[in-house]
Amino acid sequence: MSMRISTMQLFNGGTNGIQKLQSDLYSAQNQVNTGRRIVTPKDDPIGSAQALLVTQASAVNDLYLKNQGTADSKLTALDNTLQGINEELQSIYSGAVAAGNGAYSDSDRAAIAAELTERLGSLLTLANSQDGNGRYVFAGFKSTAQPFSGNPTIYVGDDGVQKLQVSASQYVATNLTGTEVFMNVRDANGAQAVDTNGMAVSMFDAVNGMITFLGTPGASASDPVYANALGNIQASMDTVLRNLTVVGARQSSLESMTNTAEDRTVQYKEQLSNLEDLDYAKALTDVAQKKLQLEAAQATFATTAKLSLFDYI
Amino acid sequence: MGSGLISIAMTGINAAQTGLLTTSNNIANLSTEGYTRQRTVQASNPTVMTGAGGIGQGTHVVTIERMYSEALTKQVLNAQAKVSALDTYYAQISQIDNMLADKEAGLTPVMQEFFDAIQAVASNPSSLSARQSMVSASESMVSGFQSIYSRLGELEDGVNSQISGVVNSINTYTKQIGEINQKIISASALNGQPANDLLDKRDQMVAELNDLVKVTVTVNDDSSYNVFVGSGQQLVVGSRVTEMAAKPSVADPSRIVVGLVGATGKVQELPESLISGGKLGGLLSFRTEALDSSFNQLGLMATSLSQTFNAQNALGQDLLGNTAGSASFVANYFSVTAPTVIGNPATAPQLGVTLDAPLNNGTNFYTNLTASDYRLSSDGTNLTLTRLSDGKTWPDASTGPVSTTAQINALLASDPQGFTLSAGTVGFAAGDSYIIQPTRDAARLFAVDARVSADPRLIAAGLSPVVASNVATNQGNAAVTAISFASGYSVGSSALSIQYNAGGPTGSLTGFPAGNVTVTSGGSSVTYATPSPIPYTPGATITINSTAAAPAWSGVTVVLDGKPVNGDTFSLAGNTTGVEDGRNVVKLGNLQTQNTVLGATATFQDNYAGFVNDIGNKTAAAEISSTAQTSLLGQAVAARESVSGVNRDEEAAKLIEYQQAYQASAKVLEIASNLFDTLLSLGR
Repeated sequence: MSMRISTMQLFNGGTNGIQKLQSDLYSAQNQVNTGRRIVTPKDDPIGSAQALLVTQASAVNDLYLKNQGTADSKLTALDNTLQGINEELQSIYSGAVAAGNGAYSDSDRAAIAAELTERLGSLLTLANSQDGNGRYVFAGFKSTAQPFSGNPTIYVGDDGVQKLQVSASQYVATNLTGTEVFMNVRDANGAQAVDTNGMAVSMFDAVNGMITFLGTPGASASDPVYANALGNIQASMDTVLRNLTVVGARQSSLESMTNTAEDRTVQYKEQLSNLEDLDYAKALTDVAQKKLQLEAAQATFATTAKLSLFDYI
Repeated sequence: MGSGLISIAMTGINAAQTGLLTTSNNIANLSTEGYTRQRTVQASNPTVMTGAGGIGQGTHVVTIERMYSEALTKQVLNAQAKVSALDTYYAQISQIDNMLADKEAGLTPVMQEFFDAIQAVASNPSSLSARQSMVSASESMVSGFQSIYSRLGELEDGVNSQISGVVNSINTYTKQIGEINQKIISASALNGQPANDLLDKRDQMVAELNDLVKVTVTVNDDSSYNVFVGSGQQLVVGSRVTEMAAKPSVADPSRIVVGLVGATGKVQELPESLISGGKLGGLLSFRTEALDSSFNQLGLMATSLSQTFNAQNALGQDLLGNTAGSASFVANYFSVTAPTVIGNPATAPQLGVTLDAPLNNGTNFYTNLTASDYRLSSDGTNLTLTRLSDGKTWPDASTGPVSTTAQINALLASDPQGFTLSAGTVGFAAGDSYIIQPTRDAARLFAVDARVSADPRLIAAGLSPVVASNVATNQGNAAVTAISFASGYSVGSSALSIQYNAGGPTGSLTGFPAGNVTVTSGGSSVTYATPSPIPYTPGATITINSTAAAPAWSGVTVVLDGKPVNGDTFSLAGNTTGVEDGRNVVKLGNLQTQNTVLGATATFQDNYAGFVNDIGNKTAAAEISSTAQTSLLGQAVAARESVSGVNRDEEAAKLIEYQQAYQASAKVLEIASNLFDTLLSLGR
């Protein structure tokens, strides 16, 4: 049996249908306008929650990248300073070796001692290096106070290691303390450098020992004090080289972390795009299809609404 | 004979005329909302018996019938109430949905900027500008929370005022229905015929009332309606009307609830679960299902963030060298909002509720708070705490009844909810109840401590004591490799020197303050009384529990590792000028990716994503149900219209039909007249 249709229903039905199609067309068009598949969370609640998590993961990854960059530039500066220290020590060492020449007179040795004193001064300047913000780099946490001073030179910094988080589970130390570089002098075998009395010496003590020795009239290379002082300078160089290796190792692990993090950045971008971005081909097909439907609905409504028995009576 | 014809013809003309009138009335009301199609019901007049059999006496109109189906109208009402509830719900929740839609405007970017700023301080702990940026980022995060809170607050105000408005309209409709009921009773009593227009008008009123709140209708013998709401609460009985009222809830005065006005003028609150359907039902379910939980989720984030952040901050040292215990040390970076407690009745004993201090799972601090509100109720003897989100109770069926808040706290201790009741509260009367809202207001009151805002040096970026191994004399390679602090730790005013002494199987350590130390290695812990020497275990964690007045190194844990040589000394000393120390701020930054909420099961962002997901789901569900219900409504309306609606073409046909009937009867009249003339001419 066919259903009785009221005239009002015919008109309401027609306008409701057209309105619904218009609303569908609008939201399809809105997706195209924004370029987003998820315009509000209701469009895909799970997808939008995931998108938030990926957004944070990506932001945290960016943070690690930034920290890696910061750490790398700090370590590069540190590396440069250590190279400078190494050069000074090499000059000191060759001066000290030359001073072992038996043909040298007291005045020759005094001249070398004077040169070494100069170099000790620049070594001290390097030990008191400051970064761009005026912070002492070899002072541990006590970066606002000059770490090395006095004669014998003492260290007033601390053993604070500044660490930056560079991945979810890894931290990298961005400094070396004065203790590690200048105070705790160890030879290639890891043994503490000591003077002839068995007292531990710092890098400054080592150089000072040589200067004092060379300044002594009639000093001879066969004196055990000379061998000890030379050995301690050698140990100072070993210490610096060891620290250079440490810095290099930190930088190379940073480099591989940066590669990984940069890969991740791309992955997160892709993931986010998959979650949120619009499939334009599909969206445009949708729009075209809805437009067609709307046109059809408008055309049929216009035709059927015109039909009336009153036209014939 | 002729007069018989004339009178029969006249009945036909009259009936056709009534038919034409009814039809034209239908046509005239083609687009009248709520109009029910009418038709004339015709019957033949009683026959007159003659010797030749019964001769018909024409026709008469019995009544003008309203083409109405009670069952189909009820179907429409049911569907309409649901659609209207869903549409209202959808209109409200989609505002939250839209608010969360913008990734640039939600909490994600402000929280990210906050944690970025923390990392900047970690990179440069002594930099005042980095610290200032961290304070600024904290403040913009706080205002991000507050702006979402105030947006939710606007929605809440909107809901409250809409509830009042809807209730006013409901009262207008019920009053009119009562009046129409009275008129219908009088009209039908007067002439015995149904008052079709009044019936239509009343149905229209019921439909509009039902759009506001779902009602059920029964019909009395005198054609008057009884209208009920909820589970059978009377709104209209005949001409008697019960008013509805919107008023602040007794249990929570900030909430507008609805009730019925009793005979004495006292308002009886209607439980929200009873009011379903209609705009009112939609508003109420939006408030309980979406709005309350949004407030609480936001508050949960703010409270957990404040609590965990503060707990970690309290372990640090600021740029001025202040640590816990110093007068100018600021432990609480963020202010923390105490739970809201609303007692009912107001005379119930004062109940205090405090947030639990955040716990530490060995990696980070976390809270056990949930996004639910709670209710504590008393039956005069026993107390019950109910979690309103899922109805879980303390005590539950497996534990016996409890009568004190201390006992409730004991139950909560094994199933923590992040808060504790004041233990000493006594004097509960039967029926006393409390709504406990641990997080509801937290986002509104979220703030950065004013002292830190004014002086970012007070951010506790450093970890207080620093280890200094005495390099000049130490011969071995042992060193303190890690140092950490428990809440409530204390740092001695003078340095603590720990000395390694060879001898014995492992060597020993001395120099600890009086009290004891706990040495943990490989998962097992041994506690040794101090200051006696303790054995040295490389890599073990050593936790100092000092009872000495000075140096009071308590709650400090160190890890000593490596090969010491006899006489090597390791000293712990206050780190007063260690301005480049960023160890604590690194830990603050870690909170971003650690499980800090919901009993250490989720990160802040997990929780926020869960909230967005929940709102998205609810919005999508409302949209889908609304579409489905609208289509059901369409079907119900079509079914009703198929009976009650006016069809123009049908009326056109009826017009022709009645016109022709009129013409035919008129023809009969003409014939009767001719017949009479014929008779008259016979006499001439």
